[in-house]
Amino acid sequence: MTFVNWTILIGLAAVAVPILIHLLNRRRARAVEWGAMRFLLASVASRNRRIMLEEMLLMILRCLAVAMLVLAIARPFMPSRSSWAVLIVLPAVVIAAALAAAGGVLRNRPRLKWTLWIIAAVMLASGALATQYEQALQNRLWQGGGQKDIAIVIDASSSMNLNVEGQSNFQRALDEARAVVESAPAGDAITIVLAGAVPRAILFAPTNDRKDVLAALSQALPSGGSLNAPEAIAAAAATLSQGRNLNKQIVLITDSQALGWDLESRKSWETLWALLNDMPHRPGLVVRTLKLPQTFSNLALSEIRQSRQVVGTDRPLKFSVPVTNTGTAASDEQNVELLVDGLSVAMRSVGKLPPNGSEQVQFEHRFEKPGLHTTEARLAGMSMAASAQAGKDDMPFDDRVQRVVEVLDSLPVLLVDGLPSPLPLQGAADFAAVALAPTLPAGETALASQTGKQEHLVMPRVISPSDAAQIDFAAYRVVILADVKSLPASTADRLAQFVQRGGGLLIAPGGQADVNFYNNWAAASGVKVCPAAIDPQRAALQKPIGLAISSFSHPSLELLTQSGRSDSSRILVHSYWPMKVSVDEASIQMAALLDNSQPFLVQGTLGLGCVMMSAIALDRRDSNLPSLECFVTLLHELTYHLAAPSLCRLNMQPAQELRLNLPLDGKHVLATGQSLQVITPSGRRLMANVQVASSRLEAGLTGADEPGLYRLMLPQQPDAQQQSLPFSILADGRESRMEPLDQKNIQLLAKDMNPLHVQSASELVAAISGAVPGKEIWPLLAVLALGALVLEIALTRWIARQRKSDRAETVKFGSDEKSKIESSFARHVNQTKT
Amino acid sequence: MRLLDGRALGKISRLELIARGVVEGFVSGRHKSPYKGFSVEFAEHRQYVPGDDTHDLDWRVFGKSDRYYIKQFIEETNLRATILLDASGSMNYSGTLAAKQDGKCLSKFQYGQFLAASLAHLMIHQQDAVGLVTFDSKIRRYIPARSRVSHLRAILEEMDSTRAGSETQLAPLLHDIAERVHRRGLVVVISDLFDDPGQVLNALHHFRYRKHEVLLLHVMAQEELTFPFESWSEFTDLEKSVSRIELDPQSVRAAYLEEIGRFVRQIEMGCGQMNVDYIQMPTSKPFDAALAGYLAKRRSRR
Repeated sequence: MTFVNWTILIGLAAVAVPILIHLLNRRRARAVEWGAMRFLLASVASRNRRIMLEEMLLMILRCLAVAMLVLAIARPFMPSRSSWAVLIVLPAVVIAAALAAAGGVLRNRPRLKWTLWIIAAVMLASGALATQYEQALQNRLWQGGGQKDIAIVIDASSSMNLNVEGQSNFQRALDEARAVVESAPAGDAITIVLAGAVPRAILFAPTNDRKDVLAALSQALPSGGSLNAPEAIAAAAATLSQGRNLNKQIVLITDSQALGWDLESRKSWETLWALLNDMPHRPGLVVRTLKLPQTFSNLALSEIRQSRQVVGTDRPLKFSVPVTNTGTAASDEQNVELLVDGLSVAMRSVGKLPPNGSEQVQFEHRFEKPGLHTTEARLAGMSMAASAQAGKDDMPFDDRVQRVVEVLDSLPVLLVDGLPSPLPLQGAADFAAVALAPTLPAGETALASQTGKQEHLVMPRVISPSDAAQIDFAAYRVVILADVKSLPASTADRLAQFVQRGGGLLIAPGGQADVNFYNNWAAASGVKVCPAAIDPQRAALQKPIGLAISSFSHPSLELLTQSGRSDSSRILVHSYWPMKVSVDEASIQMAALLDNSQPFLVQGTLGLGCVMMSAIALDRRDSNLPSLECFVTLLHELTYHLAAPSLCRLNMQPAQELRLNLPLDGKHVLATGQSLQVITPSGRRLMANVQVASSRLEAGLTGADEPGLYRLMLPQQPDAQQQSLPFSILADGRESRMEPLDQKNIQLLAKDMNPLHVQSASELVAAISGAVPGKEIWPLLAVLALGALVLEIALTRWIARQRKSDRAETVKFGSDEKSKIESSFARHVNQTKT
Repeated sequence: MRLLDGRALGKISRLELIARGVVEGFVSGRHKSPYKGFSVEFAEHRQYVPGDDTHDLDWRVFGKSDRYYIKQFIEETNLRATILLDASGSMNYSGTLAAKQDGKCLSKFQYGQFLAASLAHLMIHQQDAVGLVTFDSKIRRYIPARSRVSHLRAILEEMDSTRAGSETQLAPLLHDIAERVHRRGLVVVISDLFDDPGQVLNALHHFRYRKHEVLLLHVMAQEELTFPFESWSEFTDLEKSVSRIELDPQSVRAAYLEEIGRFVRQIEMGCGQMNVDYIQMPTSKPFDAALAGYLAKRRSRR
């Protein structure tokens, strides 16, 4: 609480006026010499306390009326972000006035009187101190602080599109940003940052030209995705560093969604502080959180899960789409539709879901042609009243989800056979080759060739270790080393590079394996290729053991764990390589164990690719595995798994820079440095640069932050239609959940920055313009003063009436007999006269 | 003589003082005393009016003039009256509403002096014996009762020289006096009775116990009865100068009046119970009228 006319407060001395009048009145007391003192004392003794109380009450009311009047004239100002000062100032003045009044009325107790007056003075002083403190605090809080650069960061995430009280939060944020721009002092330079998944400054540097800023604001569109608060602040700071003003200020306008604030790790905040502390003037931070709606209805599709990463035309692919009700009310029945390349292929219905309820919708589709396909799942409403249902969903952005699937025509696998044999099924890799490409019965082969379908997706090729020196590994997706003793150093290095670029490697050392070679095989970076070290002593068992199926934790082994459908329980191992796995390596995963708890299958990563190592060879010398049905399943699943990293990543997280592999089919003329157009989901156009990366051509792209389906336009051929390369940017499924952000969290996260958390648009404007927001409360005090006055009058009346009512009882003394006595006297006189 | 207001005495002199109870001493006709008066001096004749005692008819005059006349005598009695005049500090209060003498308001004490003087004169004139006791904190002066005319002078001189002064403990003094006055007679108490009413009544009862006839003249100023003060005042005790109180009179008026009222009622009731003649004498009333009133009342009770 502060005062506009604080000099008027000197007028608080007027509180002494009623007290002085009272004291003067008393000083002019009429002296009466009195006889009937005992009765006077008796009457005073019984009523002294009450009289004193009445007098005190009257005096307090008078003094309060004066004090309130003076305060009202001083125009008290209540800042909207007031601290505890108001709790001190008003009571202090009230108590001081009351104590002064009480002290003034007190008789015969000078010590108590002076004590009261001193306390009153102390209270008054503390009130003055508190209001001074408040003034200083408010000035510091809302410092205008000279000319500054302002970065207005507007949360452009999908959730900002949510309608709250008739207006979308994004629109509201724009309006408030506009108000800030218009109210900012003339010298301030302003820049705008739209903070979607990737923060984007829509003005290059802070500018003093308000028209530019307002124009930029009017063109701003929500970019979708999720807010990343630390990154957005960092981006704002980066833009601010180009401004010329010394003082910097960041204004973050966001909804109160907790997503993007990195509440768990807070690491990103630490980096942000480091960044901000390096700036010559650390910027101030103002956070404005817009309200989230209390009730809304929303069904969200967050992703499309594929049952397998490697997809061929040979078998159908399963999709599962989770449907979640993130709204506050139960949802109605809905249909979910699956579209492939824009054509509807299937429709499933979803039942009623309670709030936070979710359901998986399953689809199955077999792709006809290899290549890049788009898949889309969307809420289709009920067929009867689709339009009516559509209006009920408050967040349309999560009603559809898109993915790009690469369908392979073939999956080339290179098998290096360490023990080649001319006899059938005697070589170390022979069983594996047959398992990967089983020969179909004759009839089916014919059918397959008629329909033009590939017989098998996997195309195995068996070579001997000596041939490996001339092989270009890049043509293959997976390499299997079957009982290879060792590789020449150059081949081993090339193979390591192949894995680092995303290739898959399965190592199955047999009886002749060179332990030293495997244990010392390292990539150029010094990282070991093998995820486990082989024990020099090979274990040969008298009694064969099985596999610990319950230990199978790897996703690609899932089919083997289904006891009814797999004969994996019949596997018997005679001999194996005991392996030592370093436990502390996070990237190494124990995929499966033998019955004696020795590792059976270990997975590690190297660069982008995966390396798997098994304890046994892939022929019948170590186990009966190749003779079982599950061998086929196991090899296929491992191959698909190992091949997955080498696939194009077409569904990507929003990031600063994206890299897309470009097709090298010779149809398109591509050159390094060339620019390709990218069309975003909302129809914006971005440019991607073609660059060479590890013998492949890539298109590098920045600023793709909108979630959804993108198209990279390939150069047009004179004779053909323009071709495009689809890819998608993933949305964060949590964006659909409106988890509210606590103000405490903001304070905690940004405590180093001491952020100002403003509650309203007016406070936001105040934080920029430097004027303290709040309202004057003099009418309240004027009413209080009037109330005290009225109360005083009423009390005076009441006391007077109390006393008057007693006045009626006068003492009868002599007077009633007077007339009688007089008359009788007169008669007597007459009598005696005669 | 200042204390004897001529007009007042004139009014009183033709009245009779009639003692009600049995009083020791010489009595004439109307006394219920067993003794017949031995010295009765004829005073005058008066026409009979219905209601007069037929014993008093002068038949000789009737025989001569055929008219009824009543023989009136100047009675000689042996009534012994002692006047107790309170000279305490509180009696000094005068106020502005009291009766005036020579343009000045009478204090309660002055009023009492006039009352006492008038009574003394009246009694002496009737050949009654009159004594005087003045007292404040102790008995100032005790003049025993005599019926000589010159005794009146002594009493008046004594009263004239008395000044009201220090505080009173009324009740013990009354007890003391009751012990000292041996012969039964009339005791006239002139006081404001500002003491504990219970004890005062006890003391009065002492007189009654000793077979005295008691006449209580309760003197109070009008201000003490109405408390008409308006502005802030400082009240100083007339008896104890150290005692003072500062207050707004309005605030205690009701309570004060209640206290005074209770006091007066208690005295009145107590007097009624023990057959003490109790007369309230506000100083605002002319004292002669009050005295005449008493005598009239006295007569009417016969």
